[in-house]
Amino acid sequence: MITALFLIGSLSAIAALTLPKRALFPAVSTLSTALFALAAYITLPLLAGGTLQSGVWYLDPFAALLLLIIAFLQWSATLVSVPFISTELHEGTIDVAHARRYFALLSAFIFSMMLTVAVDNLGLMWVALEATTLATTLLVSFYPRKGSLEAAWKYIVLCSTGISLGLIGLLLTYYAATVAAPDLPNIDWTYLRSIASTLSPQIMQIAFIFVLIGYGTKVGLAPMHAWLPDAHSRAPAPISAMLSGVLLNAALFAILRYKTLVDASLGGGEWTSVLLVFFGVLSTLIPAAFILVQTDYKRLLAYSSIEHMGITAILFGLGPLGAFAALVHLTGHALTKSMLFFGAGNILHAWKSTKFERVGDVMKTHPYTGGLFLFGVFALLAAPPSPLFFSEYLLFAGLISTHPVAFALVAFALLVIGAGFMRFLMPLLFSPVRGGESVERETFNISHGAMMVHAVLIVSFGVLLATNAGQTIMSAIAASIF
Amino acid sequence: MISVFAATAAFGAMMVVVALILISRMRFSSLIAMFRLLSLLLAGFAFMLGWMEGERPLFAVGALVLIVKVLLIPEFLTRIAKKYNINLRLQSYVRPTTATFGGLAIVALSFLAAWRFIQEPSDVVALGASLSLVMLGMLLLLTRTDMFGQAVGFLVTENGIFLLGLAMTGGMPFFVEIGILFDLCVFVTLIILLVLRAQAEQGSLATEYLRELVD
Repeated sequence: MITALFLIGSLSAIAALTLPKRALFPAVSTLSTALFALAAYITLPLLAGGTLQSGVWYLDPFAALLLLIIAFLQWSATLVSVPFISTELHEGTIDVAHARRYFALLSAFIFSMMLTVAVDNLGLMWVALEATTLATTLLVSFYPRKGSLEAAWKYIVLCSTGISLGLIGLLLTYYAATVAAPDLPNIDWTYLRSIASTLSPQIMQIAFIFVLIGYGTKVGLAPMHAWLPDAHSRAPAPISAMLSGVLLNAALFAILRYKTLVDASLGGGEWTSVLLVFFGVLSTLIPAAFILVQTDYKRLLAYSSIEHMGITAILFGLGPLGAFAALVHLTGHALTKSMLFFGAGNILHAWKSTKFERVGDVMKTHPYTGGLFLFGVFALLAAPPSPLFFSEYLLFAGLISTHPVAFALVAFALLVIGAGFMRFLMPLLFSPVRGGESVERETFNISHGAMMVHAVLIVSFGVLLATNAGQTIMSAIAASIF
Repeated sequence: MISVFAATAAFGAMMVVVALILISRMRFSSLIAMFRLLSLLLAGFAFMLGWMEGERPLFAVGALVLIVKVLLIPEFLTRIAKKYNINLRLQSYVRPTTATFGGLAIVALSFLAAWRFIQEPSDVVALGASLSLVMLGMLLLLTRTDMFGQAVGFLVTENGIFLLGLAMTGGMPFFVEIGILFDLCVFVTLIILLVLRAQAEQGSLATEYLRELVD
C-alpha cells in the first residue's frame, strides 16, 4: 500500500510532462488529492501506536506523523500552485514548458521526501535525502532573476557536501555493525536498533558528529545554515512553503534515527542531547541577529525557520517530555510557516517585490491574504491557542531546570525575534508606503481557501492538545522515537 | 601473496598522492586528468578487493565506478567546456604551492585523527586516506573561485567517501551503491546546467559574480 503512494507520485510527474495544457492543472490537483487521501488512510491508524513493516518500508508512529504532514502539505502546496502558476503564465513570467517542469520537479521533490521517512534502510534514506536536494535545485533557480543562480549554486554545493558528511556517519555506523555482528550485518534501521547496545560507543560518537553536522546542514542548523535564506527567498512561494514546512523536518528525522542508535550504544541520551541543545541554541541566536536587519519578507520568514528548527532540536534534546513538545512544535511550525509562505506568494504577485520598503497597506487591498497572514504571524509567535504556545512553554519549563544559561539565551533570542516580526510585518500589513503604486484589489481564490484550512487546523491542533486524547496520541508518537 | 592490508595501504597512499597533485592544478584539462586517475585508482581498488576477498558484487561496483567516474563524468565536463568555449584557466584564492602545503598539513592531520580513534592498523590507513581525500576535496571547494574547480572539489570528497566505504566495510549493499552513483550523475547534470546558465548570464564561471545575496 505504501508502494501505491510512490506510484501516484511518479504518475503525477509523468502527467505534468505529457498531458495537454488544458488537462495539466486538473490532473496534478486530482493526483495530489489522491496522494493525501491514501497517505491519511495509511498513517492515521498508526499514530496511536502501531507500526507497519513490509518489504523496504517501515513506519512507526513518528515516521507516520511526518508522512502525514508531508502528504498534507504537498496537497495544499499543489492546490496553491495552481493559481500561483496560472498567474505567472498569464503575466508571461513563465511559459508552459516552465509550468510543466515546475510540477514535474515538485512531484520528484515530494517523492524523495516521502521516501526519506518511509524506508527502513539507512542507505536508501541517504539516497532519498540527497535526491530532495537535487529535485529542488532547479526550483530554487526557477526564475531567470538576479540572485537565483547564486542561491541554487550555494544550495546544491553546501547541501550535497553536508549530506556527503552524513554518508561518512552512515559508513561508520555500518562499520560498527560489521565489527559487532560480523556474519549478517545490514543497514536496516530496525536491525541496527536491535543490535545497537553492542555497537562500539567510540565509533558511534564519531558517526553521530558527522551525521549531525552533515544532515544538520540540510536541517538549517546554525552555523551550517548559509544556504537556507537564499534558497527560501528565491524559490517560488509554494516551494518555499514545502522547504520550510517539511524538508527541514525530514532531515531532522534522519538525525533522530541515528540518535536512537547512538543513545543505545552509549547507554544513555545525555551526550547526543547536549549536542542537540548546543546547535539548537546557536540556531535561535543567529537568526535573532539577522532578523533585526532584514529588508526582505521572504528572508525574514526563512530566518524564522532556522530559529524554529533550533527550538525543535533543543526540545528533542530535553528527554521524553521534550520529545512530546518537539513533535507539537514541528507539526505546528510546518502548518504555520507554510501558510505564511503562501501569503507571501500572494503579496509578491501583487506588489512585484519582496522588499519591505516597496510593500505596504496589504490589509486594505488584500484583506483575505492580509488577515490570514496576520493570524499566521501570531500563531508563529506562539500566541495561544497556537500549538507553538504549548511547545515553547514546555521548552522554557524544561530548559530552566537543566540548562539555565541556554534558557536565558533562548528567551532573549525569542524576544528579539518577536520584536523584529512586529517591527517589519505590522507596517507591511497596515501602513502605506511612500511612493507606492496602487495595487489591484484581490479576489478570493484557492490559495486563501488553503490558508484557511491551515488556520483551522492550527487552532484545532492547539485545542486538541488541551484535551486528554490529544496528549495521549502525541505522547504515544513521542514514545516511539526512543 | 599480497594481503588486503598491503593493498589498502598501497591504493590509499596512491590516491592521497594523486589528490595532492590535483589540488594544485590550475588548468581545467589537467584537473580533470587527475580526477580521472583518482577515480581509476578507486575502481582498481574495488576490483582488487573483489578478487582477494572473492566478493563478486565488488566487481560490479568497480565497473560502475569505471563507467561513471572515469568515463562519463570527466568526458561530459570536458565536452561541455569545449562546446561552450568556457575559459579553461581556473581561479583560486591561494597559489598552487600554498595549496600543496595546506594539503600536506591536512593529510598529516587526517592520519593523526584516524590513528587517535581506531586501533586496527589496516583500518587506520583506510580511514586516514579517506579522511585526507574528503578534506582535500573540501580544501578545493573552499579555495577555488570558479564553478568547475568547486565541482571537482565535491567529486574528490565523494571519492574519499567511496574509498572509506570500500576499505572499511567492503562496500555498501549493492542497491545503495547504485543509488549513490545515480545521485552523483544527477548532481553533475545539475552542475552543468548551472554552469551553462552562468556562462550565458555573466560570460564567466567565476564565483565572484555570485555574491549578491548577503545580509
